[in-house]
Amino acid sequence: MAIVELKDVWKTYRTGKVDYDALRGVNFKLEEGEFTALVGPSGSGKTTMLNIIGGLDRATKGGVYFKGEEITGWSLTRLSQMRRENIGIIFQSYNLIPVLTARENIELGLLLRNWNPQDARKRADELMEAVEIADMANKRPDEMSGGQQQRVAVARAIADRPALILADEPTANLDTATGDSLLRIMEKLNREEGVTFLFSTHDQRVVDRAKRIATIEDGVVVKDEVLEGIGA
Amino acid sequence: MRNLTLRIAWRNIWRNTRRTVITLVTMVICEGIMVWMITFGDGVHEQMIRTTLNTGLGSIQIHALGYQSEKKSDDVILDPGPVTEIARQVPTVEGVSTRITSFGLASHSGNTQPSMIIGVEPIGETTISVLDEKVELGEWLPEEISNPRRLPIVIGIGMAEKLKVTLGDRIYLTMADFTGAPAYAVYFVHGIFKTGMGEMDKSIAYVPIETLQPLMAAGIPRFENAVHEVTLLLEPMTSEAEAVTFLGGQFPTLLPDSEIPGADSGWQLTTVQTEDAVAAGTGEPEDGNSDGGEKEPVDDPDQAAVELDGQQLEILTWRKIQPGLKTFIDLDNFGMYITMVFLFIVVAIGIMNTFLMAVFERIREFGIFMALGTRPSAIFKLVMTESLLVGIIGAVAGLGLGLIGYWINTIYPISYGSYGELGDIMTFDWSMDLYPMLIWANVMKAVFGIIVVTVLAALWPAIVAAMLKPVEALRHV
Repeated sequence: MAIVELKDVWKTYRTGKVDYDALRGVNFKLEEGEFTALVGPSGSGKTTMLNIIGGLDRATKGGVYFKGEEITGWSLTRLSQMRRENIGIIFQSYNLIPVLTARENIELGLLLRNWNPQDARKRADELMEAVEIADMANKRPDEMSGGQQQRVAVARAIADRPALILADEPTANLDTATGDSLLRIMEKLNREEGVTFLFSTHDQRVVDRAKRIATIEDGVVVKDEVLEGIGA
Repeated sequence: MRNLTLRIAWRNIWRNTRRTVITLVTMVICEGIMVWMITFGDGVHEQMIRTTLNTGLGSIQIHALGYQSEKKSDDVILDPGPVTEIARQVPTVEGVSTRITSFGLASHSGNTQPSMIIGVEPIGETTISVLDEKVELGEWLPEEISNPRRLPIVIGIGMAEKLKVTLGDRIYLTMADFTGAPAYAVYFVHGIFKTGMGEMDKSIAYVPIETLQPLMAAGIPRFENAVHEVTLLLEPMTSEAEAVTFLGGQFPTLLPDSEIPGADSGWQLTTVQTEDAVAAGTGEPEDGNSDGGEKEPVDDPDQAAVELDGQQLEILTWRKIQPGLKTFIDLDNFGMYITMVFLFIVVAIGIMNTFLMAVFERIREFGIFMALGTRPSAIFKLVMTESLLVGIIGAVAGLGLGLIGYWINTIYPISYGSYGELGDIMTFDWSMDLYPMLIWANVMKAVFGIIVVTVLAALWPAIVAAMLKPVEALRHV
């Protein structure tokens, strides 16, 4: 089943008196279990597409479907519920909560999903081990390196084993070793637990690992290549 | 999640420590001023009330029904014995005494002075007023009359000057007795008092009640024990209303308040009309009452009407007898509350500015929360929790500052100096020094007020935060 489907989606931004089409009639389907890279030059609409899929933004025209249900006209509250229950997001710039420790940042995602605090703490500790930052548990983001912060962000996103993870340039600010390490963790999650991943990326390492590559240029998906696995 | 919200809120308010401290300092100073002002105001009011009660007004007066509003000389309590007995049972009573009051003329050697002649129990009166302490020349009235040919009178210094009398001089009194007929008596100056209250010093004369009673009774047997009032003085800071309720319960019969002439409470008329009657415009009452409606009693805690052995009595607190003082205090409190409102506005503006800045600085962070699936209402709750924490800290610290001010004021009172005309009513038994009084119920109004104002001031910033669009917030630099 398609976890996400975009049907003729347009997104228009108004800057001053000028209308700019960030997405122009995009048709896209993401199946469950896919490990997909969305590639394209800067300004091509990758992040916009991820934001619309994640319910962070609304399409100007067209239909957006999540698990078969149309979410195009949903309210902000309903979209946030959908995100909370189904989607993990990894940002390029980590986006951790500055006043929370590493452990608390991971717990936050779980507590938002009504996890019991003790279970949330236990899961956070497991994940910190998995992403190799157990020793940073009580450190705040300003006490961690970029790589360490991104590990926390990955742990936060995967904590509740969501149906879909959207990763917007997750390895952009990371060194090679850290980037590889995190990608291995995400691959493992995809392989062993069937979590669907959609990356927006310029990073060849991500592209090399992807099983499907969709290319977007000027707001249009110009190429969509399934390399292996589902739909190949 | 609630715990985490509290944790995040607490840490957020200290992210910009300097700004938070500046905001708190503003709140603490405003709250401290308010708390001290309230304690000072309460202290001044209590001193004013106590001073006034100590002039002989008393906390509560019991009269024949209608006496207070009509002041008819034959409106008397015919048998005050049972009434004073009941009055002494009030748990918070300090003193009880009886009085007879007559209006007349005092004269000596061709000099005259219109006077209020008050017959008092020499010892009993000292339990309800401090007049005996105000005697500057001679002495207060003796408990027993040693010489029936030289009946003692205590007058004010103003009257002494007007009549040109001194100790031992003779004063002729002409007054109206209980029936309204003229009565005459001769008294000898036993003491001269000075209260500092001009009218009192000039117009009031005190004589032993046992000497006035026969004069006023004019040989009419039923008047032989009569008095005009039974006066009670209660302990300081006790409730007159509770005492009135107690008294009302001790008499055999409690009458509706409307029985008291001039009572501004009493019965409220509520007209009951049928729908048909309204439509027809006739206004016919539903229950067929000839007076057109149903009545509901309205209770006034400062008064009661009772009946004892066939005599109807009114029980009135000082608020009813001297409403001007209550009005003065109410106006003073009103003025203080206006000042508090302005202080609250200052605090509110500061808080709103602080939280708007804090929200603006954290737009991106709110976007992250929303991206993680946080509901807009939870964002709203987070900002409001922060404001509540700031409010509580400011309120508690401000209370502390205010209490320090109160404590210092109790050690170093404020001397009010000369207040001109105001000094006239305030010099009687009035210490030149003004002390505060801590009434927690009043102080806590300021404390809760500042918390409420802080929370309300953060409403707009919280709404702004909750209404952010996630993608725009995430893009915010």
